[in-house]
Amino acid sequence: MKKNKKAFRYSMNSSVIIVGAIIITLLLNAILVTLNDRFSLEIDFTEDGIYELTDTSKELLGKIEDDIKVLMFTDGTESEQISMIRNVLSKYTQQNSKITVEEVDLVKDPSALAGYQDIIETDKFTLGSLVLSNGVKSEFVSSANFITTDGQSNIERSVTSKLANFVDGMSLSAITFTTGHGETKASSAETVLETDAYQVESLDTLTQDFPADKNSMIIVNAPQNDFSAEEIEKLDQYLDRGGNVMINFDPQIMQRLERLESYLESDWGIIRNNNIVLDQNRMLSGSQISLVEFGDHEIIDPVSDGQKEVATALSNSFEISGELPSSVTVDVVLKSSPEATETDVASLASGSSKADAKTGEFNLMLAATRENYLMQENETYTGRLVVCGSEAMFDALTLEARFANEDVLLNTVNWMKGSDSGITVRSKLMPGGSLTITQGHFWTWFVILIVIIPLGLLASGLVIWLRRRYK
Amino acid sequence: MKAIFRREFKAYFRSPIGFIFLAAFFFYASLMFVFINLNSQTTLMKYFFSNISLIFIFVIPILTMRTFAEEKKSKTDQLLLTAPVKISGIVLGKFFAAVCVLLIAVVATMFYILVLNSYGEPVFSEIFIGYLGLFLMGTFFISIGLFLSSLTQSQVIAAVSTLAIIFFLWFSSSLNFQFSNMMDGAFHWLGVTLDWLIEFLAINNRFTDFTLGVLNFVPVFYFVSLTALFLLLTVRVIEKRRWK
Repeated sequence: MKKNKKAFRYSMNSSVIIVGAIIITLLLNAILVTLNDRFSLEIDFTEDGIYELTDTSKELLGKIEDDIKVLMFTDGTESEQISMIRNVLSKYTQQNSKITVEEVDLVKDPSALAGYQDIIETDKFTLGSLVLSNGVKSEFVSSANFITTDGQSNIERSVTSKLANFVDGMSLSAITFTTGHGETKASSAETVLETDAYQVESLDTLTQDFPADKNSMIIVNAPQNDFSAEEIEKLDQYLDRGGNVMINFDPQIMQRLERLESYLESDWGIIRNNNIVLDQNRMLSGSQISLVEFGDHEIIDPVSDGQKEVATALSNSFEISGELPSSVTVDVVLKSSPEATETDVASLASGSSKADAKTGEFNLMLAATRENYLMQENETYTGRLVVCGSEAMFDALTLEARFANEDVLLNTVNWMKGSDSGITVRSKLMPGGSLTITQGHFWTWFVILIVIIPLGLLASGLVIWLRRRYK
Repeated sequence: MKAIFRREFKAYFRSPIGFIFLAAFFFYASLMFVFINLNSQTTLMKYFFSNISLIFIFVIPILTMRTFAEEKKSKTDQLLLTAPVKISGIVLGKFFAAVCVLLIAVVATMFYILVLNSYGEPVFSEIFIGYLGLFLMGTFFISIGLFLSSLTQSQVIAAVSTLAIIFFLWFSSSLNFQFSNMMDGAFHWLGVTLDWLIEFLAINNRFTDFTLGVLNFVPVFYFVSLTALFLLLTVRVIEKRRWK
């Protein structure tokens, strides 16, 4: 009887301990999961911090006061990209409780998109795309460009850029490309700017007025035909009122742009040379791409500290006039190496040398400012002008992850529009690099790792077993 | 505990079990490494870790099946139970011996990092987090195996039940049970609780963070706490037997 009582007491104690331990384990895990929803309990060890937010995003999130709901559209299945998007979005909710994320399964609820037809760009809609909404306005974030083919992640960059539109004073900013002069469409540059939430617009300078906003920016990309006198006048007035203009030339277009170039020389002290710079020492093998050197300008400061180089294709060069107009300053942003030479389109095509070709440092990109005091408004406006000798530098080469051209383009935009006007989060490198392994080495490792070592281990086990058996 | 640990660890390599475990693990791991990394020419080990963890389902039961079941069958457990050793010491000794064999297997595969380093530029921090996850998950599986081995005297039952439980934990997240949709009315709360429990137990989701190169303290605590819980359960089972 006494023994039974003791056994019962022991069983009771044991059961209480076991149940208690299970409850405590579940409870502590549940608490941690809840805490993790509010605060990040993780350390990101990836090379580019792909699963943590940059300071820029955190700063922006600190300014968000409205409740913002993020809808993520899925088809209910899991994928690596969906998992990554979810992970990055959780960092936003941890940083600011005003932001909530809801996943919408389009298989279960096919009509979920109906309320957002006016903002969703159907050609850019892919699973994982987002809609950000504060109840008053909504923004669409396409997931099509979240992970690029060259291994970069734009998730944070795209989301943060669109979130900026929910913060007062950081609304969507437009960048205008001119048309009407046979300009080349800068598709890559447009993609980069749109990813950073700039609204890309076009402007026919012949028929339309230049923007009145001094924080606007106009890009003239590889014009083939000259500007009219009236357009030059409008351009000049725009710059006089603090406008920002970037002109990218195509060095392979033979036709000179007399009025435009004459205006640049007389009003800005910038002379476009009728040449093509060849920097053989800095040229990448098997291509016409060469690496450029940095001048001394704030556009290039953030890039010059980095590891990436800036590249250019064939480029015109520019001279800075010895007698600059008053109130104009011109600085070199990018230049060739001192060993560069020059040629021209005709010589390049025929393979001959250009007569009286110079050797030395050539200016490839210049940045100029001009102060203009308007007495009637009692205000001084600063017009900013950037000229670049190669349109490829900010188009085809912009999206090449190995070069810092994208950074130069965005720094140029920031310099022109003022750094407070936009939010810039750079793309992040996805984990994983490539291996360079020959077929021979591959098969060597195959045999060593898959055949020799496991068989060796099995043989050792067999020997030990046999020895013990027949001892 | 040290004496138990030494005895158990040596036992793995006096019998073929330790070698079979190492050979099977290394063969499968190498197969994954060669085809995922070398063949695809990538330093990214995320897919390697996701796949290599699957082999644990099959090899951990081999490692743990004999720990207590064999002692029970051959009646040597009587010696252990009457020896002046704490039960927790016995359990921890056997646990750490199995963990050491696992550690040898895992550390051996770190040789792959050297191979990757010869042909590319792997990010070491990311890879080590993956290995940490692999190790923590392995120790959790060992604790399950120990517990189940302590419940039976048949090594086969111990191995099969361990395999079944680990298999369930691994694939439960993919089964998408949705008990809450199946149970309406008065039993809806039960469905919700079961869904929560299955999601809580789903190991696959917990392991993903490690493969991505992220050290998340939630899955770290999950693996450590559940390992401790199963060790405690094992101690209670053995203690009950001693007490009887």
